This record gives sequence, C-alpha cells and structure tokens, in this order.
Amino acid sequence: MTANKKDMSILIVDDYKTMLRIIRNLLNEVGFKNIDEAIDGVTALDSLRSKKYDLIISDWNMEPMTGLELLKTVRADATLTKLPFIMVTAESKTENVVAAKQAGVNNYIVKPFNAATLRSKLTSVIGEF
Amino acid sequence: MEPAVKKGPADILYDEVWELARTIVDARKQIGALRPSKLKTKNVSAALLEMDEIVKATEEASNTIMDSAEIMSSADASDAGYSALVQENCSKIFEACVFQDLTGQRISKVMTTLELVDTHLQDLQDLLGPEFDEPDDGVDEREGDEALLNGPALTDEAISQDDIDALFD
Repeated sequence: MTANKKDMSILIVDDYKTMLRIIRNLLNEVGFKNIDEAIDGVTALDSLRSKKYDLIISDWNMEPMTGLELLKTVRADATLTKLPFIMVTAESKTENVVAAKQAGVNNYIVKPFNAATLRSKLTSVIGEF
Repeated sequence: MEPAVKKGPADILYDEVWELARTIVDARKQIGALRPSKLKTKNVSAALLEMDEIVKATEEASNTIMDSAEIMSSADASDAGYSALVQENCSKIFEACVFQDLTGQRISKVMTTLELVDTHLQDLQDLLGPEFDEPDDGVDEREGDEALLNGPALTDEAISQDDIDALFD
C-alpha cells in the first residue's frame, strides 16, 4: 500500500454516473485525490488488470457484472486477492451483507451515506489516514 | 296451450352450444369494457414517459447541485468575488431543488395509473372467477446471487448501518 495513505490509488465502481461523482467528491473531501472510475464490474476488471490499485469501492447492483461477482473474481485472482474491497450499495438486507462478507468484502456501506460514514469505513479497512 | 315439445339430443346440444356462445360474447364484452388497449397505449405509456422524466429531472438536479457545490468548495474564500459566487451558487441549488415538487407531481400521476391497473386486474379477476386464478405462491424463483438483487429495501425490511457494522465486529 502507498506510504501516504491519501496518495493511494482508489477505483470506484458504479453504473450511476451521479453516484460516481458523489463518491469522488466525498473521497476528495476526506483527502483522497488519486481516484479512477469504472461503470460496471467488467470495466473495473479491465482497470484492475492494467493498473495497480490500493482499494476498490464498488456498487453491487450493476450489469453485466455485479459488484458481488466482481468481489468474487477479485478474491479468486491471485494477483488481486488481498485488495481491500468496500461495497457501497442500496442492498440493505441481512442476507446481502452476509453474502458479501462470505465473499470476502472488507466493509459494507449502505446508501444513502455521508462523508463521516465513508471516512469511518475507510479507517476500518486501511487504518488511520 | 301447446303441448311441450320433448327435446332430442341434438336440441339439447344446440342449446348448450348456444349458451356457451352467449357466455363467450358476454365475456368479450366485459373484457372490452375494461378497455385494455386504452390502458396499455395511453395510461401505461404515459406512466413510462413520466418515469423517464423523473429519472432525467433527478439526474439534472443532482448535477446542478454538485456543479454549484464543487464551484463553492474549490473557490478561494479570500477572493473579492467569493461572497457573490457563493450567493449565486446557493441560488442555483435552491432553483434545482424545485425538482422535488415536479417529480412529486409526476409520481402522483404514475400512482394513479398503477391504481387504475390494479382496479382493472381486480375486475378481470372477478370476471374470470376463482377457477382461473392460480394463486401466487410467493416463491422467488430466482436462484443464487441473482436472488440477492432487490434494490433499496423498504424501511421496515432494511437494516441500519449500525446493524451492518455489527456484522463486521
């Protein structure tokens, strides 16, 4: 992971452009600037295989590859398996959280959320920054 | 008074067929009275257009609000024009929030259509009778990960961020 955590490279994945913009702005607000975007799991995988990232923040409900499928693919890939992964989603039933946790998610944020929640979950996944 | 003519098998069959034909004609009239083509082409199509407008309006409003917020957050507070810039962008945010009123009205129209569809389905159910109504067993036929995709949950079905956090402790 990058020495200065605020320089870490983050990939945000959401099929809703407005949400990508919201997450980017909230990450900027807490000090992160090195942020790339992907609009679904497939394009996220392309990005992950062409550039080294320190963290993924992904939506769940996307086509053609969901966030859960992306998470499982990442965990099954030896080169990506330890990459911290935060799910940010409107799927807010216990079975969803349990399924994501079983698949290896590091933390789970339910939409709508605020900068404080994002900061708190980032801290729990990457440590103080 | 003429003596009653005893009906033969052919007459009985003719009466049965006649009664059946009349029932079919009546049913078609009653289904026609539900005006399914009007419901489909006018009400439902209009509701879909309203939904499309709602999506566009909320996206447009979100972008306007974020544009203004980004301009203000990146502005230099020591700049002479800072106060005017903040005032101008706050006004844009207030204007953008009008979407809530407009989308509220559009949603009311969509709800009216849904109520109309519900009424028509109820009428159709009454017309067909219980023998043609296969009850919904409520079983979700989706399997695996697909069954987990439900979008935002209703308030009483969703768990809170605190509950989610507890699952990670």
